[in-house]
Amino acid sequence: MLQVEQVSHAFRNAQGDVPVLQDINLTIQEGQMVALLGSSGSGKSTLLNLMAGLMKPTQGKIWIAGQDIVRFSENRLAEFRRSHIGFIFQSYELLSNLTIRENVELPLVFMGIRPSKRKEKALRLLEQVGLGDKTNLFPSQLSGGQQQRVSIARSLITEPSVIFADEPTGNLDTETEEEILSILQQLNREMKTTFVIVTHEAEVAEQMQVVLTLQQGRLVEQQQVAQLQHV
Amino acid sequence: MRIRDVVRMAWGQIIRRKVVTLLCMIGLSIGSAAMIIALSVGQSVQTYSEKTLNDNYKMDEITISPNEGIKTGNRSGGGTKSKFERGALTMEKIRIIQRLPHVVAVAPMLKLDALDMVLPDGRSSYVEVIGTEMQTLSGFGYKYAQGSGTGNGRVAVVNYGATYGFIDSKVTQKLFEQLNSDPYNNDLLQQYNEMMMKQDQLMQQRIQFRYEDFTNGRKTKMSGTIRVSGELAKPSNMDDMSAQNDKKVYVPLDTARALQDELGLQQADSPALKRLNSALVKVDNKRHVAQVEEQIKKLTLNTQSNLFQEEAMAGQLAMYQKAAIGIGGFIMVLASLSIIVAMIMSTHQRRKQIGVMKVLGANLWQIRQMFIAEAAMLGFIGGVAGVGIAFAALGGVNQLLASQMADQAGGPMTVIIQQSALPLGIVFAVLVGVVSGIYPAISASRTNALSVIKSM
Repeated sequence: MLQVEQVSHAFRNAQGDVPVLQDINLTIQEGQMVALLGSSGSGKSTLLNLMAGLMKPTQGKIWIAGQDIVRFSENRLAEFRRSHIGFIFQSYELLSNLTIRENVELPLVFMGIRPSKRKEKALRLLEQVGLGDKTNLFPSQLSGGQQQRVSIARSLITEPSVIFADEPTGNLDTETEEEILSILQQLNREMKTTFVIVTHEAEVAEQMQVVLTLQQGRLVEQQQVAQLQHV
Repeated sequence: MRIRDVVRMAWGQIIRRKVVTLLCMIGLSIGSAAMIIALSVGQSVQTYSEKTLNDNYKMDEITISPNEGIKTGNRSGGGTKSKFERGALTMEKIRIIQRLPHVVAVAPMLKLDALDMVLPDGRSSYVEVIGTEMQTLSGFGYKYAQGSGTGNGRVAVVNYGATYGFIDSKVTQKLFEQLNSDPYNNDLLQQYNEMMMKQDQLMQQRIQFRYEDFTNGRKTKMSGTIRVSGELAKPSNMDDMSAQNDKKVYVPLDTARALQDELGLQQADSPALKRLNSALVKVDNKRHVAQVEEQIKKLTLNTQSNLFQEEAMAGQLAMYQKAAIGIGGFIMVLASLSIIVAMIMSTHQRRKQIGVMKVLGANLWQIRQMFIAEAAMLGFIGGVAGVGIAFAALGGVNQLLASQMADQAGGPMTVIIQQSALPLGIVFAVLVGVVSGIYPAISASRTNALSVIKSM
């Protein structure tokens, strides 16, 4: 379970503090697919960064797997991210000098997992995202959709409690977007992993179970989407 | 994070970033080569200098002389000399010295003035006449070209130089007169030089010594005849010219004392002058010279060795080596700066990659490890390349030395790369790499992961 308690955040500039998020309270249940919907500047990416422990809020608490990550040091946060959090980037962010299998293995490298075990897990996940025949290729040899699938496999390899995705389909065409969302939904069903997806597209948000709408730094709406839509 | 993974990732970056790798390697390899050559030159200079010292100064020998400052015993008024001199060099003391630890040979010496050695045909040459125990000569490395120092009757041993330069005084005088009137006549000069460079066969010849007493109206005295029973070989450490100018004749101590009487050498009847006036001691190793000197001094004798030459040279060498290492170190500092600059550039270019790694769970230490491993590998590769460059440059260094030192008596110095310098050069390059990598590594680990997320 992910819980955000009275979180506010402000950026400091020469003119003083500029509030970005104000008094956010929300709870995301385990295994849910949640969309953070909002227009540009609504604070959705900031909220995602705070929940992922990449920033510390000016005020409030963020609980993941029963731990308040706001109190963690940078190194402790790195360790926590390693084992509890997965990321999917809009621009995939694969390391170009590593093969796609090695890219998927990367989080396990930082955990000190032995190579044979890493390889076995990476191959299984690549198989799951439909890239079992491309494990030895380099990212530049793949299409955008395929690279995003590699990124999804990488986010799952540590079996995290929650995966954060910031506009995961933002760089993809409509057909590939559908394909990626379908994969995410399938993985959510099969692995019961929680997904928090930032998007500004209502069509993408509608495919999630819960839609959290932000406007000018405030959570204005929490909407449960009909369960049937996702089956 | 496993070491293997750290190494693999660092190696991946080295392979990938060829220009940065090349830049760093150039600096490091030159620095490392400079260090290796500096160390080897320093070592070679030391070896060469020690050899030169040993050749020229005989570092394992001690010269003993009487301690004339110490005189005790019955003194009578009017400044008469003492009958007992504690500082005298006597045969009793020589026997004691012979039994000291590390002493290989002791040659007692009674050095007479430079005397004119006269051949039966009247030609002569000035030589230094030294009375000694003839059997001790071999203990000092003297080798006989012919004969030996023993034999019946009055015998003498001549050294290599003493066989050269016999001239007839009348011929010489005439030649000098001609030269005075025609000083630029090269033929006359050459004639004189040829005479001086002519070698005579002295073995079994009967020689005499002539002494001209300048204090007594240039009165000339001739000694009795002495048979040449041995001729010493040319010392291996001397060039021809030096060896020919070093003219010595060794005679037994008794013969030397008899010569003093026969030639009426100054106050030859004085017992003090008939005593030994010096002795030469050979020690088994130069490391023991100081120790033996201390023992000899306890016998109230003066000693002199060439250790001070070594100390003076050691000071010079230390300065030389410091300068060489300083130059190598300076190049290494430049190499280090090149690594720092190249790696900071690399860090900047890889900010996004580092940010992604941090988001994926790499902690500060893991990021630093990767950069330091990369720098260490660059150092290692640079060090190995430096070894190659050092060997390649050595030919040039030796050629330069050969041309600059062609006129040296012992031949030109040759720089040999010391085996110990190779691992030292590589280790040093790795250390420089690691130290240079620390700042870029810290800088890399401070990359803000959020900047990556924002740029998505």
